[in-house]
Amino acid sequence: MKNILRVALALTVVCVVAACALSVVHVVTKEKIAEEAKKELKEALGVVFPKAETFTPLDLAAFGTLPESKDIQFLEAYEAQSGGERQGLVFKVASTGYGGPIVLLVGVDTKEGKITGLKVLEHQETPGLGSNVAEAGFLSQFLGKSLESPFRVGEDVQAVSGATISSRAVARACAKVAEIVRGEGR
Amino acid sequence: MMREFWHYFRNGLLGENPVLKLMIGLCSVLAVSVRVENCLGMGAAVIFVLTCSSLVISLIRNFVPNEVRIPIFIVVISTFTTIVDLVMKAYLPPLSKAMGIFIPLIVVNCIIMARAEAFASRKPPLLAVADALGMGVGYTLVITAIGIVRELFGYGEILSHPVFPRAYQGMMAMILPPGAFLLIGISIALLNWSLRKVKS
Repeated sequence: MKNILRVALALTVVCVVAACALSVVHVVTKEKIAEEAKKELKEALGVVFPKAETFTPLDLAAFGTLPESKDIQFLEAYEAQSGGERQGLVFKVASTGYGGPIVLLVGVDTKEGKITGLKVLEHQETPGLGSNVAEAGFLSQFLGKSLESPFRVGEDVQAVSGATISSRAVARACAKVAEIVRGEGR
Repeated sequence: MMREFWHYFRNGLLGENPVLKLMIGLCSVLAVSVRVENCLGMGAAVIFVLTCSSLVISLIRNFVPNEVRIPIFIVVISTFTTIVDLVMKAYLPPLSKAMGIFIPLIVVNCIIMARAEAFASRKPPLLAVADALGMGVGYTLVITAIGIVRELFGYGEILSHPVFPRAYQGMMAMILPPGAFLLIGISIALLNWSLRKVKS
């Protein structure tokens, strides 16, 4: 009986001390971490829609039924504004690549019906092959592309050599975003 | 006391180097050593967690009942790992992103658990710190050496500064995990060979 109490006491003391230490560190770093995440998102949004100054989060439900499937999911949407006026939309999409979902931002100018920019946020593609779809060399071909384009690898999209599946995932994200924006206009 | 300190410190560098001799903590070496920057970050994180947890475990070694020593070690180690994770996220976000899951995984890095169980829980604090620093630095040296070779031949860069001409294509095998496996094997062979040479 005495032994059990001693064991329990030792565990309790260690856990309480650890919990206190962690809560102190959490409180100290909490704001800074949230700030970093916000700054990172703002920077990424700025890259895909350089013309806009402010971005307001939108509810995805406002777009009705989304053209989602097991290969593509819509995660977030933002309205890009400049001078208080809507310039376009930015979507955060997860599109299945070769090694898992490729999470990317797609910016669309709704006035001119064009892609304004793409940025890959997360991916697990093969380093040196599929990972090149995150590079400007591949993504720049989408800039200024009309939303009426087919966005098909081999037709109007040049794939990264040796990474057709990864390239297709990016093209698919653009095609689905274009589909939503076209549907919204009607 | 000082001589003992150096003895245990040096032990981790060569004689019982965690990666090349004890063969523990290999997982993180394979995964993180693609770029030198990540290696240095991972090394610093491991040295910090290892030293702090060895010190604490050694200080409380007489208070910890034998039956629950493993859970208590895990609580101590995971506390320090979480501290590193949070601090890195707040102040070094790019590095924290590059290391991804491998910072939280320091909790189960066998170097730290093994040193806590085999050394820190049986020796006075000063020697526990000597052992932890030696093991941590030994780990960092090996992972950085492998990182230099992988980044140089895989990307043609060192610390993201181009070293080779731009036309250099990069060796895929170095970027992928098998490259690290081969390099670890070669390093072990080289170390054993040179140790044998010194002896004879």
